[in-house]
Amino acid sequence: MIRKLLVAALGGVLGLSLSAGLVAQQNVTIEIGQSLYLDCVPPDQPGDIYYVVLQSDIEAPQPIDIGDWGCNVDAVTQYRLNSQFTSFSAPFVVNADTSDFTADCDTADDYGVCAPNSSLTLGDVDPNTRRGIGYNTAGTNGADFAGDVFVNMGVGPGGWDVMSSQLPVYVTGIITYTVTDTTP
Amino acid sequence: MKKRAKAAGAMALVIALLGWGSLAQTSQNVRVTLVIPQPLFIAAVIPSITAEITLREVEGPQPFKIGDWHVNIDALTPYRLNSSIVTIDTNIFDAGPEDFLTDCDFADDFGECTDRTSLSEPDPQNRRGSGQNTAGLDGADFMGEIFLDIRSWDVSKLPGFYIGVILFTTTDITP
Repeated sequence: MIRKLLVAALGGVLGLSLSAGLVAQQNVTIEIGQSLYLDCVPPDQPGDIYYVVLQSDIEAPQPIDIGDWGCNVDAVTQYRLNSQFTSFSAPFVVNADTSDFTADCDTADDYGVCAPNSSLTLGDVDPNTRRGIGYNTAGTNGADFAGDVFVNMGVGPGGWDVMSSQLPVYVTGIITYTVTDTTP
Repeated sequence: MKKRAKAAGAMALVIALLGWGSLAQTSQNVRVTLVIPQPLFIAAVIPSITAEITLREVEGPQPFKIGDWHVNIDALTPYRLNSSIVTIDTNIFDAGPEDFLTDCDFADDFGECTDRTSLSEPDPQNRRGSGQNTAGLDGADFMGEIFLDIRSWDVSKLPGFYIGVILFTTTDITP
């Protein structure tokens, strides 16, 4: 009986306090719909690669540089950045495939770190296709990763065999860049 | 009193980090296009030959050497190399392409010589050699000599002359 009376008294005091403005409660909810954002074709980045192979490219040491890549990553988590061919077409070049293409990572800022791996091969897996890693970029303009894409056209009997009856010959493909949370 | 109660009541603050709607993504595609407009390139390293026929050549064994040839080939395909001579002008009776012969003495960077000698017949008689993809190399060098046989010539007007052009051609053998 005494216990019931004490609880009732405490409830009354708290109620009076709230209504008098002595205690307030504020709930805070932060929703993070996505923790990683990737942009590999911003206005100041290379985007698509279009390269014409000239005589000087045939004589140059292989592999030859056919273009740059650049990606900007905004993150509120740790992540890795990968890239590799996800489609490829070279119907008129015998011996050409995605293993002839490689990429490097030359620069990374805002807590981004380049990886030394180079594979762009269709079907290859991380870490061979990893271009770099990074961390939370809150308060920065995002981590910029940049590098080059190369192609090696081979040499001798195992090298590329371009079908002259189909000139000009096109080799096309799509390189897909992905960011993945490394602390899922 | 109602306002106070509302103010004192729970107030939820929702901060949504939803980004920019459709721009938000974790993968992106970049298209790669390589264009190869020409897979074979050939250059004549020795641009011309001038030979004067003297008593020594008339008395010497036939055919005799009149000069060297040297071409360089850059290739992104297997190929064959041919050469033929075309007469431009002459005042020598019976002088023609069939009087000229050649050989291939040297080939590098996946090039291979043939033993054929004609400068006046179609392939394979006028084939100097064949080769493969030369990417990353300074191109396949083919070299040889050019010979002349003047046993059929009838020079009636002096000075006698023969002017011709040797055409070197590369052909994709896997077209």
